[in-house]
Amino acid sequence: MLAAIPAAAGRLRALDPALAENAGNAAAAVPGLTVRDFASAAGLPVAAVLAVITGEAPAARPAVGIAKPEDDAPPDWLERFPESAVPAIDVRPWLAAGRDPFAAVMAVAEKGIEAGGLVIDAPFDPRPLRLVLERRGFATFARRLAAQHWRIWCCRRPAADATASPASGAAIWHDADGVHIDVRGLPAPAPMVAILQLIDCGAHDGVIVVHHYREPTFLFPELAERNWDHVYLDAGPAELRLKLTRGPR
Amino acid sequence: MPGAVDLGGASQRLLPEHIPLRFFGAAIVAHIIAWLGLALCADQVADFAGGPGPVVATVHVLTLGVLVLTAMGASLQMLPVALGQPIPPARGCTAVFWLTLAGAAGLIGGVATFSRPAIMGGAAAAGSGLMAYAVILRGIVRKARQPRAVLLHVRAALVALVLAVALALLLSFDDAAFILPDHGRIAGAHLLLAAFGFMGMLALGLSYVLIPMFAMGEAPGGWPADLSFAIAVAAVAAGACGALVGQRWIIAAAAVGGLAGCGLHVGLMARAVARRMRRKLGREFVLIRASWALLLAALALGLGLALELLPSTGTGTALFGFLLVFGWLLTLLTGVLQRILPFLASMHTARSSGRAIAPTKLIHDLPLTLHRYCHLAALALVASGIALDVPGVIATGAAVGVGGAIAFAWFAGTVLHRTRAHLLASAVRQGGRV
Repeated sequence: MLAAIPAAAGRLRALDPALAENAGNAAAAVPGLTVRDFASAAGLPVAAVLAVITGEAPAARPAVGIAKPEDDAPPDWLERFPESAVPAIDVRPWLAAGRDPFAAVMAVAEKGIEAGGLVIDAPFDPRPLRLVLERRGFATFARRLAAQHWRIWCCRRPAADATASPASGAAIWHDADGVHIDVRGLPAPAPMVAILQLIDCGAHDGVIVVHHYREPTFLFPELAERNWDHVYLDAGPAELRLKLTRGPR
Repeated sequence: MPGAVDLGGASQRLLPEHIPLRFFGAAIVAHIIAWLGLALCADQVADFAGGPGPVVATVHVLTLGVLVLTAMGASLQMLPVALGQPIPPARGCTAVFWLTLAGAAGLIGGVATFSRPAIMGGAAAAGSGLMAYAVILRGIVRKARQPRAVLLHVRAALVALVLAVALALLLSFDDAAFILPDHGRIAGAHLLLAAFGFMGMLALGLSYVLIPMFAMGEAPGGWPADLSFAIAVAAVAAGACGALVGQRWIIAAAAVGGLAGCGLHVGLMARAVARRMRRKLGREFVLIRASWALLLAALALGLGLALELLPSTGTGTALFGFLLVFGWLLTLLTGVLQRILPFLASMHTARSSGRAIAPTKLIHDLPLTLHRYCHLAALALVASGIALDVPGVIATGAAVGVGGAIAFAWFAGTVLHRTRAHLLASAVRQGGRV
């Protein structure tokens, strides 16, 4: 996380001065802001940004390897999204002033539940915030409109979709190393239920990475029941990460 | 295989294996004694009119020996995990166990033999153990923020526990000094606070974690859970006050509230089970569902007694007490315990050997089946015997209950034996010391 790297802002200034300024303020205000968020906002590969932060690469914008700002295709719902009818918030002034806009966004999100969605303008793609909103029943999509200007469309999922599944509170995504599930913030026994639902539904290749906030003690007997193993992975102090792998049949 | 990763103290949420084992072991032995005691005093049950003697002794074998010890062992181990809090100090848990066990033994012996010094000494020791437990439990829930429904119920249970112990101490000293104006009213309030207040609230609260966990479903929450809690708490408070002042209409209102609150709770749990993701429910749900029906039946009977639709002494009161403690609480407890015993053992094998053994590999089905049939048959027989005032049927039912309790001990012994065998095999494989 950027807040954990005090020297990051100075080095990142060479990559994108205005963005680094914003990111520095945002990192102070939003503890969950990551290097990945900065890279996404700057349109750079994560590895390139990391190399600059760690001093392995010169503090200059690389000429090659520019990442596409948003690789995902727009979701179907975006065409029908009632943008003019939903509440909107621009968090760029908040972040520029070093203020945490989280509470304000959540207040707007409450109104967005009734209105069917909300729109957020931000200087970068706020992935941690999107995860929070997805846990609260919104589908999200982010697009870079200009330098330091991202728009995030948040569409309220139908109530049936949001509550039918016990895992509705967990964020799930695919990555190169397997399916990831983030159960942080969920009360017991929701994390265990969400993880087991993911295991049992079969939407994985036998590897699941769990992002948890504590050791999932209740989970281990159920993993043994399903012949799954677990290994602890290195993660930050605020996270406990486990790699679950299906055992031999 | 755990790597060298800082878990931030999170791995310290399991008590040493011997601590929950002590609580559960003592409860399993007391379970047999409770049914045996009921068989031995079968001729006094239907005519029970209060006061020391074998019936009250048997009731306390079940309440203090089985229900309270199991609740202590389960909550001291399960709540820190469920609430994400550090485990309590092992010495504190050990002190709680010995104080409560020694106190319960003294109190029960004193009640059975009409020994006033034993009653007072036992009550003081058991009360100390229960208060130490309350302090430890308070420490566990103090900093926790969620799950809200669990915290609300546990906090209410703690308040009820303190009040129930205070009344119990008054009752025990009254047996020697005759200080209370109306011993019966205090005993009634003590019964309601202990059974519905402490044990009941704890059972309802833990259900918000255990039932969804067993069924693999979404935990109930939100305003229905809050409403259920509020009505149940108000009902316990009203019931205790009504018993203290001797006003039947207050007790009747409390019973109506209890039916509403507990009915809502049962509805929430049943819905969580219906919307589960586990295809086939475990056999423990036979007992858990039976316990829900028995809870509502006990409350309905309590309402009938309060409205004087049934005789308030003898058969009616005895049946109410039986449905309450042997019916609802013991049935729920054995249903939950048959699931969490192998579950906890498996959790401990994960810590001790790196890889957990599947809980189903620790279970022997035959004793559980025997226990289930015996327990349900015993409940039906004893309840019928009390209702019809036939001591022979009560004694027969209690004897069947003894058989079920022995089968349950067989099940628990098998879990322990298989856990030890797994740990031994793991130690041998790793070349370590056992």
